[in-house]
Amino acid sequence: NPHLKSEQSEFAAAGGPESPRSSPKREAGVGAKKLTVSQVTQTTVVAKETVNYCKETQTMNLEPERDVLTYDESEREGEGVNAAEALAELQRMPHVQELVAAGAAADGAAPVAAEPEKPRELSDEERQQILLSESFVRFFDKTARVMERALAEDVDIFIDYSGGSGDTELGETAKQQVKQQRVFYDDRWSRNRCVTALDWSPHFPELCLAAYNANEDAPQEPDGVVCVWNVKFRKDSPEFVFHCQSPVTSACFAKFHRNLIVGGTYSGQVVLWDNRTPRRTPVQRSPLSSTAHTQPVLSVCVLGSENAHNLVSASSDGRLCTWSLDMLSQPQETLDLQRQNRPVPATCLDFAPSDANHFVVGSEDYSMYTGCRHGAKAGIMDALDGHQGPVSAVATHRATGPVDLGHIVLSASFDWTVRLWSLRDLGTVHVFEETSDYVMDLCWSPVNPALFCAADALGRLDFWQLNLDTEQAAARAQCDAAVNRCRFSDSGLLLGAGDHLGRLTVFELADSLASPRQEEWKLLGRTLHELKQATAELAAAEQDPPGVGPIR
Amino acid sequence: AEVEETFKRILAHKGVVGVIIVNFDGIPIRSSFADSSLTVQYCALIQQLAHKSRSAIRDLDPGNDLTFLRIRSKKNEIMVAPDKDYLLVVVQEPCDQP
Repeated sequence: NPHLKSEQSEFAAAGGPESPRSSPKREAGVGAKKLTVSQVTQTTVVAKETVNYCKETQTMNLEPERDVLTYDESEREGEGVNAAEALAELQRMPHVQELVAAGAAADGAAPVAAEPEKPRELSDEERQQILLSESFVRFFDKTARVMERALAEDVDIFIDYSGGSGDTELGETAKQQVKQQRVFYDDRWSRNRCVTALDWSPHFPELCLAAYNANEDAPQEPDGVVCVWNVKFRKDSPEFVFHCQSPVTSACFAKFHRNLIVGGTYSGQVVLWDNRTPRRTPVQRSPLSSTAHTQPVLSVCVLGSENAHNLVSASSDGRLCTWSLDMLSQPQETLDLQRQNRPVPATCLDFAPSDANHFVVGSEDYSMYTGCRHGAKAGIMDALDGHQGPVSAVATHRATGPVDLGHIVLSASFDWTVRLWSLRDLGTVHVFEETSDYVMDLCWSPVNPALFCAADALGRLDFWQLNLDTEQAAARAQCDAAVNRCRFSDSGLLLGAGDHLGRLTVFELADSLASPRQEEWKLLGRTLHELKQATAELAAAEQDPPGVGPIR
Repeated sequence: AEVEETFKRILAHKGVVGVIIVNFDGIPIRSSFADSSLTVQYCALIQQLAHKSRSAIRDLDPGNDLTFLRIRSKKNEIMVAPDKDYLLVVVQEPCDQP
């Protein structure tokens, strides 16, 4: 704070001449010369005042007098605004009073003591002005965040017997496979809104975002909200809150930009938020035109590499648009997915992990399609039938390891089943029939190749470990409300589940469940082979092939 | 409005006794203490202390700067977040909880 520093140094400097000044005054002789010296300092103070004029608008009149007061109380009736000075004066009050009695030179204690009151009463309008000023808003935004984290964290460190360990919950997860770590819920922004999208940040593993639907009970609040939550700290409020006018149906962190969040909305707009600016509305929006999307955007993701990446969005009328993140005014490419000359009513989309070209899309007409974006036959390539209900989620295999399992795809549907497909022979490998309600979402673990999680409308989260048991879920967790979205964090140890009441529950997985063992990949290959054979035998027995295409 | 909301949220936090926003002159812009003399006292004392700590940090290493100040006392904890122009002071009482 340059003001305080310079003032105090000057005060210290003035304090030097001040005391010898007062004693010579008593001696009545040398005082006059010293007075001229002090006048010189006064002019320097005046120069400083002009600097303050430029900065302040209303408190201009007070400040110069305050500055004058600290250096040369003899000149004017001081109004000390500087609290530090005031306090110094207060503490030295008896001495100053003596000076006042001795000569008219140094006054300022009593008026100084009175003065700190005045500016504070005066500045009510100023206060409002300051509260609305941009620099203040920026300061408060950042500082309040830090302060809330600090507030939420403390208490633990001074308890002697606990040894200062922050997280005491980690010790308990050994007993349980899946433990609910915490629930993120904001009263203002997530009440009564369904969680429509979940994503974990690739840059900061503790950040996750949740996109929310509209709140029917509060029509004046913005329809689409995206909150970024922080798992590392205990504070209960979101790190960032963004909103837009239309309900957000999908969202993701921009993989190669640490500050951008992409969202797809119900109206077909693709919006971009930036957390560097203090505004909560999107910084970029795609147009609402027929060249872009006109139906709800059900998936947005950033594909490619650091230097050559694109944003791909898909809407429920089967349109796939490729955008550049710098320019959302028009898509770079548009691809309409059609099957038998009718658009595909898509519900979900997923890309193969290392392949920006091939994707799998699930649709409402009970089947899944594979497609590719570029090439001679851009569009839908093959169809995978088998489900008896609209497909709600598709997931291509995520974990990378010695064996390439990119051809393994999971699909969840409203027919209460989860199916495991192999894209090599376009057939079902296995059908999981454990659930007893619509399966809303599923997600592969990014570290364990045999682990995936399925969430259903009863709020149940089933963790399947294919190498342990294919008939029964290895672990199970329960949420209070129907889970709409579930996502593993990039470490594979946390799972976020968003439900239709606006709550985001974070579950912690035991290490034994989440981390792969040495032979996990080999075992998985064998398991898949066994499953395939079993399905084939079942099909032959029933003489009713469950999947299109040759199984054998 | 957002400032108000955040202010109230901080105030509503467990154990928080009071929140004060001080500007660089030492004038409290916003304070949750009903007693204005207490506010003034906090402002003056805390600002001096923040300034002194900042000078200490900068004297030790000119490239360094003060980012947060936490004063833990027997009865409560004062957290100060300084900035170039403003100061946010929060007084919290420790609540024993497992």
